[in-house]
Amino acid sequence: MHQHRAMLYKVCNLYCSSDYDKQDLFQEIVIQLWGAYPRFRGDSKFSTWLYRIALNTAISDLRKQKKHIKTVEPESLPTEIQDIQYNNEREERLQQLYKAINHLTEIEKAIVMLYLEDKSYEEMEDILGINQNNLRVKMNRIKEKLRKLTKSVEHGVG
Amino acid sequence: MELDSLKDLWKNLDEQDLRPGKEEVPILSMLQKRSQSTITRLKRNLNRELAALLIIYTLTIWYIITYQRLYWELALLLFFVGLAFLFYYYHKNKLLKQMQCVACEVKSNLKRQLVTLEKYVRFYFIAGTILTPLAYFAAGIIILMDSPVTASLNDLPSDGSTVAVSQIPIVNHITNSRFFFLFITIGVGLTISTYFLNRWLINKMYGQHIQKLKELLYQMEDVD
Repeated sequence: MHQHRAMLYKVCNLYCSSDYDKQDLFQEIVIQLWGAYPRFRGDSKFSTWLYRIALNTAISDLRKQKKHIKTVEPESLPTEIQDIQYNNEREERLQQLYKAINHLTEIEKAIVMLYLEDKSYEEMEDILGINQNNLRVKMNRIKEKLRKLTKSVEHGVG
Repeated sequence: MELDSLKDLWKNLDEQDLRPGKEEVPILSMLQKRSQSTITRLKRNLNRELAALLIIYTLTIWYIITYQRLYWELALLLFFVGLAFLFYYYHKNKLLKQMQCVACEVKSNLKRQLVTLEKYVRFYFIAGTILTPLAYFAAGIIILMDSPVTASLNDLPSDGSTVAVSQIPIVNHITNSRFFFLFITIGVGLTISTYFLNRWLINKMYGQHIQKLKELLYQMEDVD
């Protein structure tokens, strides 16, 4: 579980906006994984099984997102100018990506995530249950949609 | 933005970049908490329903035995209500168990959820609409049968001479009593209002969820 924490956090970041909701979803995924593990027979790759549970929990559970006031801890603020520049550039690209992904549907988010994780179309089919041809068509559309979305974000639209 | 150019950035994100909140919550403490998933909550509600019914059931039995002393009527009532409720609880529980397969492909899990939830809602609606008036009429009939008029059944002629149906005391009591019409009117009103109340309640509780599942499936299937 510890090895795959980062992947689970990525799912939470894609499907929730507040820290509270992210933690809530992370906890739910962990509980579902724990409950399903005794039935894992190794018919599919462990990572496939893991993605299925994480995405099924995030997509189909349709939990209501709660509104919370976001607070920033003083210790979490960067201390050095060099750090700020490095983080800013990286952070900016990441924020841009998250902003654009936020405009996608739940299913498109799952496809993008698996694509960014470098999963093959075969494995994506195994996880999502959408056939590969359909996935390719969807992926092209998503790329186009993201291109348009980031253009509008850069120009201050949306 | 080119998605491919972001793959490296995405893959190199570490836990600290992604973790919500500052401190890492131990897995063990998460596992000690209760699941908040929709299906688990439905199961929990069903168990609460069962607990509430058992309490009401016990109190009713106690009241009937202590104050009313209606033994055979009680046995009959217990048998039918118990049987109906056992079937209701068993069927709902079975559907809830079938509703989710978290380790299945996302699409098949969504389909399974939609189909089972629709079955669940249909059953909930039918059972709710039928059981309430049924319980009302069953209770009414038992009370009616136990009314003092039944005692005069013994007053019927025992010499084999024929008696018109309207002369049998209980029938006579039913057809002539204003209570009977009131009883029927309330029963019909209850049936109609239960129907509309259930329709509204089910739509409020599950309507959005079903709609969302349909939308998700449509998103998965749509390629045109």
